[in-house]
Amino acid sequence: MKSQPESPQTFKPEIVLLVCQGALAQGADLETAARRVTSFKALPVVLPCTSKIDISYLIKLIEQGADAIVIVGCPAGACSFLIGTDRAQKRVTRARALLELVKMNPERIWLDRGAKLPAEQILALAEARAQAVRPLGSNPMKREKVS
Amino acid sequence: MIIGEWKPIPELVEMLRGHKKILLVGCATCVAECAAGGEREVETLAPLLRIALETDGNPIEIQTQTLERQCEWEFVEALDAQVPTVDAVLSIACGIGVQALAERFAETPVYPGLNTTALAMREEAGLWTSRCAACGDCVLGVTFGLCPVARCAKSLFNGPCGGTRKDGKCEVDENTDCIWCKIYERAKARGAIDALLQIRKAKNWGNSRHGGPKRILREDLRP
Amino acid sequence: MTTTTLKANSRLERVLAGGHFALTVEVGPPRGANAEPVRKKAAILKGLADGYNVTDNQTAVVRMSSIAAAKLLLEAGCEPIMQMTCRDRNRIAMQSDLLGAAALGLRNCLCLSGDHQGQGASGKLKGHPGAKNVFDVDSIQLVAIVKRMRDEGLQEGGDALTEPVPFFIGAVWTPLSPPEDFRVLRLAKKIEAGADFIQTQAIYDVERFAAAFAKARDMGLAERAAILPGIIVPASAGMLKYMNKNVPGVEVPEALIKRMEQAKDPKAEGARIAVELIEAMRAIPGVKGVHLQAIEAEERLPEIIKAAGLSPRPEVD
Repeated sequence: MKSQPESPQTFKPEIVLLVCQGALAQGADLETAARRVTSFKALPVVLPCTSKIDISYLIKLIEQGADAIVIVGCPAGACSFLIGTDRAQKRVTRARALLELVKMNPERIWLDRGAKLPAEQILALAEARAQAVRPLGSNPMKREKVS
Repeated sequence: MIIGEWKPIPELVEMLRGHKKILLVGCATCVAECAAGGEREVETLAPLLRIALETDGNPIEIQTQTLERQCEWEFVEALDAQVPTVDAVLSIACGIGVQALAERFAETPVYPGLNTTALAMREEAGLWTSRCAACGDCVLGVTFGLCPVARCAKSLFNGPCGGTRKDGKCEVDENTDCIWCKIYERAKARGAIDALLQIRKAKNWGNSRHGGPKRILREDLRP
Repeated sequence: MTTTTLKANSRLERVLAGGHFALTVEVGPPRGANAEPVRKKAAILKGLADGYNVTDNQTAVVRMSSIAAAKLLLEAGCEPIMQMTCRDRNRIAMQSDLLGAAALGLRNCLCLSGDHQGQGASGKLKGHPGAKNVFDVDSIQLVAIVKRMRDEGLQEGGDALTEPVPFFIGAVWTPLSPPEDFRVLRLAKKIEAGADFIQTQAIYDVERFAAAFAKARDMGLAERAAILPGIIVPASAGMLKYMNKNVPGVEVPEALIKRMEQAKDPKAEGARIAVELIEAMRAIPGVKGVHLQAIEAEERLPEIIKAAGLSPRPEVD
């Protein structure tokens, strides 16, 4: 379901990365790696657990113009906080349903799983999502950003 | 507690169309308990409505507040300075809270963001079910603690009707127990089936909404 | 049997009082204001039954009112059994309608809870799922209300009526719905409240019904009220499957479904099954009659009634 027309090839999707500590390799420098990316704009945030993500954060990020949110959490059954990753899944499902209610493409919120991934691999996940949302065009909320 | 659910987004968009600046007010009591109108829901609904109205061609500023309870004047008063600065208020409290705001801020349109639906209890995480119908003549003492007014689709007093499904669920909803089946099971477990053989006479509904808008006056508690 | 011992002097009551095996049939009113369909059905069924049930907005679908259609049947020579559910009327409207019905000559009334309007009118029609339902009183309380109007000449609230209201009072029994062991006790409540006759939900499993009926008989209920098991004429295997799955209280044995599936002429097979069911019910000691229904196919009833040996009806006038 397309919510807005195709945008120019110069469109650089803004991808917010919400990554849990367990999914990220120890010592990995996600910020530096993110700055090196050129085909899209990566905005990384590291969290203790993906269960810290509230549905309201996801909606706010989209409302504020993020083209996509990629959440990277531990695989099911491997969460350091036991069910955190399952919680995140349920919230992602609801957040996507809410986006559909306001005619936003639910594909803009994505949940990936991995354990101790190096920064490059996490950014590869973000790149994949950037490619996927490119045809959707830029988030229409970007046009009227409230200061 | 009182439960409610968000009105459909298109209905909310319809309500807010034409407004430029509104205040979305939540309530931290009943509706927060049922994840419909608390602070978390305010912080989810505000950006959601901003998106909905923006893409509807009606960019809107949505300020947010969450009161401890919208049904107490002392909490409602806290909005005195803010409400006159907005075009309208959208309340996601129950109908009582919406009316409290509407009464205090008579000059400002106050819209309901929820459909208030029942007096309920959280059975388990994520599941709320109706428990009480405020019938004004409680029969829980003779129905083994299970309310047939709220929990029987036909409010039978001498149930069950013939509509009980094979699995003991109500014909109206496959997820809802036939409460009279449950009442019978309790009676049986306590060796008290005889209590259910008594014919319950026609109910006096006069002490409920059916008798007119309810009013309780206690002189000993008046100022 | 003198008329002074009769409560309403309806034909159904006289047939039962005379010890005859009674036959009632069902007539569905039209979804319109035209009296002709009712008269047509009356013409097909005249003289073939002792009472003609007229449903009351069955499955919460708006149809011509039971009382109006019942009056049309009465005028056409068929003694009706009006039906009244608890879904659409409060006790004031109920008593008022009963007074009117009696004034128009109606003498039999079946009291039932009624299908909930949220059901979606069995999926085929829109119905009125958003309507407010009433359920001021339940079916047992309604039976008691009619009894009070008849035997004490009093309204439910205590006011006097100008004279007692003669009704032969009916109620419904669904013996096979859970909780099964309570169903016969609830039947006792209905009879205690004043039910004179009982019509049951459609029975296809004779054995299970016979077992439930035996309990009722042991409790003396079959003598205090006339119990008439319900029989719905099968039209197709699909219909039986549908009812087995979707109609609470209806249990259809697999064997019957297979029989209909394998039948070369399902309609004829359905008629045969109906006749067999009638005969099986007749063979159960204490059963006082049967209630025969052919949904929207009343024209099938005459041949079945004759084949079951229920024609002609006894002389009781």
